[in-house]
Amino acid sequence: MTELMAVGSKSLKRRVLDLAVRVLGSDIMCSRTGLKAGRALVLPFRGKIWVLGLGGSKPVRAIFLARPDTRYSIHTIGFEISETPDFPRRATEHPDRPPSEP
Amino acid sequence: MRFLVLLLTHQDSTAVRRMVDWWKGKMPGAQIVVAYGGSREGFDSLDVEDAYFVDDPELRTRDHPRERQSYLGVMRGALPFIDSGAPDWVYLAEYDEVPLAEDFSERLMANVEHEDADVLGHDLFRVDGTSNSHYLAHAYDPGFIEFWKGVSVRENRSMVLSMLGCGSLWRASAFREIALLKPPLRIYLELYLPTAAHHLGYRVRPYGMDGRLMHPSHEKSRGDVERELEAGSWCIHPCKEFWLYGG
Repeated sequence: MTELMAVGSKSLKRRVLDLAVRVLGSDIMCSRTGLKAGRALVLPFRGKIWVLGLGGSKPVRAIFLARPDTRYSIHTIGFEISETPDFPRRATEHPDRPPSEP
Repeated sequence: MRFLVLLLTHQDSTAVRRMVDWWKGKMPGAQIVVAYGGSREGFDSLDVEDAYFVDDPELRTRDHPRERQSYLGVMRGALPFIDSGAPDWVYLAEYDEVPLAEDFSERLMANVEHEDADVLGHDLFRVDGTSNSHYLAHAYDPGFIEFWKGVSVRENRSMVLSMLGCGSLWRASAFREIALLKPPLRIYLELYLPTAAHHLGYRVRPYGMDGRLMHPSHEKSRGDVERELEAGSWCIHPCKEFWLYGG
């Protein structure tokens, strides 16, 4: 019964969070591509930025965004969807390894 | 090209037979090997040519990411089949993946050539420094990055990649080498597989196909399978009950 209550409580918390994200959150956009990366509620708390509800969307990296002018009092933190890996192979001592790129 | 298809399942013998027959039809000439992660009794009742029992608690998890499910036991169990069959490529599939295309092998090789890849996977991303929950939970443990630094041949030795374990294609040498690594901590397979390949020097790339059909976010129905068959798609996942009801 305790386990059932725990499961029920967890799903209730999850539902409340989902509702809060849907109503109060905002779309998380990739500042590099303009694509939507997900939706989340972003809150400052105790010197950190808490991102709630982003879940299993595409992995994003938080970055300070470049701007066209010099401002000392305003900075914008945005998000970028992580890139797809594209790295050349590297040779090791294995004889059946395909040849490495120069 | 010689393929070995490694099918990980826990379903009953009838479902496994259907699954193996279906894969044989889609990849004629490939060696089909079943890695059985169900009960010992279930394994004993199997009616397939090539199969082995995976006796590894790191496979038998309930909450796979949080318990850091590992395929190392699955991969090591496949090594005798790879040594005897000498395939060029190993395709790692879970039971809930259904290949659709009649030219499945040709499509795989076309992707290999297009990407000049040693490993191909779905949902492939670089995840270090990102919101990826699996990465963040591992990065909390300093031993995680230290392990990669110890085995990497790359300049950036703390890079971490993520991809689905299901539906990955491996140059046989890469599969063998990664199976024999001995990480000092348990690493979730979606991180371990591509990250190990990358740090050992292999080139890891995504498939060129539509990722929606393989994404695990929602279960695909028999209707989805039939629709995608007609549309000429090449595989679909997850379809957990496909083999239970006729295949």
